[in-house]
Amino acid sequence: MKSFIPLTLCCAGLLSGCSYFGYYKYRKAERAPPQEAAAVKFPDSMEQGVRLTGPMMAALKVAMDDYRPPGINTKALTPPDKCLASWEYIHTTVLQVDDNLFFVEFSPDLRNCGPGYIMLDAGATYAIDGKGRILARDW
Amino acid sequence: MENGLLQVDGPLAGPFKKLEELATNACGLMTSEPGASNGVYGSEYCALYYYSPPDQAFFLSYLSNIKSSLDSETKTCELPRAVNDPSHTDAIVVGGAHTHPHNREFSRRDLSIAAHWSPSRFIDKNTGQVLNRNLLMFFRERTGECRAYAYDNFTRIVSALRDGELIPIGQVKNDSGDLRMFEGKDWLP
Repeated sequence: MKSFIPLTLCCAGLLSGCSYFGYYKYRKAERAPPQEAAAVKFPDSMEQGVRLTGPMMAALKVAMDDYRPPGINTKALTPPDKCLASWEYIHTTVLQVDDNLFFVEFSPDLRNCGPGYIMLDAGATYAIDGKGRILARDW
Repeated sequence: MENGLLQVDGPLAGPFKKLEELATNACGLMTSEPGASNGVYGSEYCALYYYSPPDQAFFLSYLSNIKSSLDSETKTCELPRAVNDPSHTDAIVVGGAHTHPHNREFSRRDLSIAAHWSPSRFIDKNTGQVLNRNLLMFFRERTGECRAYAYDNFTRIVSALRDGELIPIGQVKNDSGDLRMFEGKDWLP
C-alpha cells in the first residue's frame, strides 16, 4: 500500500498543479480553417513593422516568462486579475543599452478590459543581461 | 458596483475648502495605515476625493487596499471609481489618491495613459468653478515627513505640495508617462 502513495502524489502533480513546479502543457496555437488562410494576403514589405533583434527577443522572452509564467491559468482568475494576466492588455517596451544590458517594461493598460479598470502601479521593468540573466526588477 | 468596478464609502475626512488642504490631511491619514510606509515590503492604499457643490468643499473617501492576487504584482492598488456618501449624493468624484510605500516619485505607469480617468475636467454649473481630475500620491519619508504630489490628468502637470501650496514641478510629455521636469524643480524641495 505504501508504494502507491508516491505514485498517487506523482500523478496528482502531473495534473492541474504542474505549472507551480515549472511544468505546463504546451498549447499549440489555434489554426484558422483553410478557406480563411487562403484569403490572407501577405505584404510585399515589412518595412512598417516593429523590428526586434534576436538579442532583444531573447531578453524579452526571459522577462515575459518571469512576469507571467507560461503555465498561468487565466481562466481560473477573476477580473481584474484576468485582465492583468492577459498579454493583450500589457504594453511592452524593450530598450537595449548595449550588448549586455536590456530593459524590458511591462505596462498593463486595462482600460479596454471589462468595465475599464485602473490598476495603479501594476507592471514591472526588468534589467536583463546578455546572458539572459535577470539583473534586477523595478516594481 | 454591478459593473465590477469598486465603490467606497465616504467621507473619511473633510470638509476641506482647498485641494491642498485635503492633500495635507490625506497624506497623514493614508501613509499611517498598516504597511503604507514599509518600503519595498509595504503595500498601497487607494481612495477617492470628491467635491460637494452645496458645501463648496472637498472630502476624502474611505480607503481600499484591494490589489492584484498575482504573485508578480505585490504593490498594486485598484482605484475605486465611485463613492457612496448619503450626505453628499450630488458629489463630484474629482479624482483618486494612493500611497507609495517605497518611492516618493510617481511611477511612469501612474502617469501613463492607462491611469488616465476620463473625463478629466468638470464644471460646477452653479458656481462656474472648474475642477480638473487629479491623481494624488502620498509618501512618508523615514524622517516622518509626508510628501504629497498631484498629477493633473487635464493639463498633465505634476505638482508637489510645498508649504500648503501645489507647486508645478514637471509635465508629462507622452502617453507612456515620461515626465519632463521643469527648470530647477525636483521631487524634493
